[in-house]
Amino acid sequence: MIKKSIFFLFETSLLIIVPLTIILSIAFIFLTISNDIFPGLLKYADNINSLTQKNFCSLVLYFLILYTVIIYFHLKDKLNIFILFHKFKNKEKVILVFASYFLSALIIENIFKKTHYSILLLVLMTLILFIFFIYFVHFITNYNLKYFRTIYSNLINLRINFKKKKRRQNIIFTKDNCVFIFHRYSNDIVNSRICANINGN
Amino acid sequence: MKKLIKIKLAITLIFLVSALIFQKTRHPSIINLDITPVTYVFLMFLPILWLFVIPRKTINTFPLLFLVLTIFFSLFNLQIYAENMVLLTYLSLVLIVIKSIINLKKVKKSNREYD
Repeated sequence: MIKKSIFFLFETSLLIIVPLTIILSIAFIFLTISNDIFPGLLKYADNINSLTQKNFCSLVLYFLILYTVIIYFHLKDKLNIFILFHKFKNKEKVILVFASYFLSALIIENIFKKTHYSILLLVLMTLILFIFFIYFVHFITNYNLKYFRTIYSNLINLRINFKKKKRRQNIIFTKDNCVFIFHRYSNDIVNSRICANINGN
Repeated sequence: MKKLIKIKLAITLIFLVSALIFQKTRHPSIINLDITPVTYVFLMFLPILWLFVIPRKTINTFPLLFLVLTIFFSLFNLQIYAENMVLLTYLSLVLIVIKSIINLKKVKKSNREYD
């Protein structure tokens, strides 16, 4: 019961988070490009310039952690990374590597101090982010609005289970209980007969 | 929607967001890019053009469109926007030249195969 209710909460939160991130990213792209090409045209676009490096880093890290948790719990067909890797074309892989490099440079600059290991860290971070992005793209492409239906069915199931439990508390001899008692009784008889036969022999 | 297009759209979203964050932070490690924001936007869209494989006819219309926009902005004394549009026209013309050179090489290769 508790597990099902947690899963229900998790799925409802997922319904809000995924469209929200897509809308936010599209808005961010639109505002920044408009601010670059037509500076001072949109007043809302100037607010993006006030965001500092640390703000961006914290935002990116928050989304990365959130999506790692979501992907870990939600991908039921936990595919191997090598199977997924072959599904992508070479073009797509190269673009994803560049994207992962851009983000890893941002994260390393803010979290770790500048040392002679910074390049090694950057390479490691790009690899980790590249693997994450492959899973992320797989998750986003398989995400459908059919989840609404599954959530609705889960809700009905929860209600039915709740009602069943209430009934069982009130009535002792349900059908299941009767069957259980009968089986136990019959087994005892069989066991006693076997025992008697053994003793007799 | 087909799954292949979905994958491409998701990758473009990821790439554009990451590249724009890289630009906005202004102090990226290892590479220090000192270029104007308009050229950066143009460079950012190059991999996407490579990903979707847009036909040559549509790419040839880009400089024309930007050129018309420059005239439009210069008429209304919006010189900052007009300068940006001029930059974009020049860059798109360079792109067409590069694209044509690549196509020439492809044609030569195909001719050799037939010979």
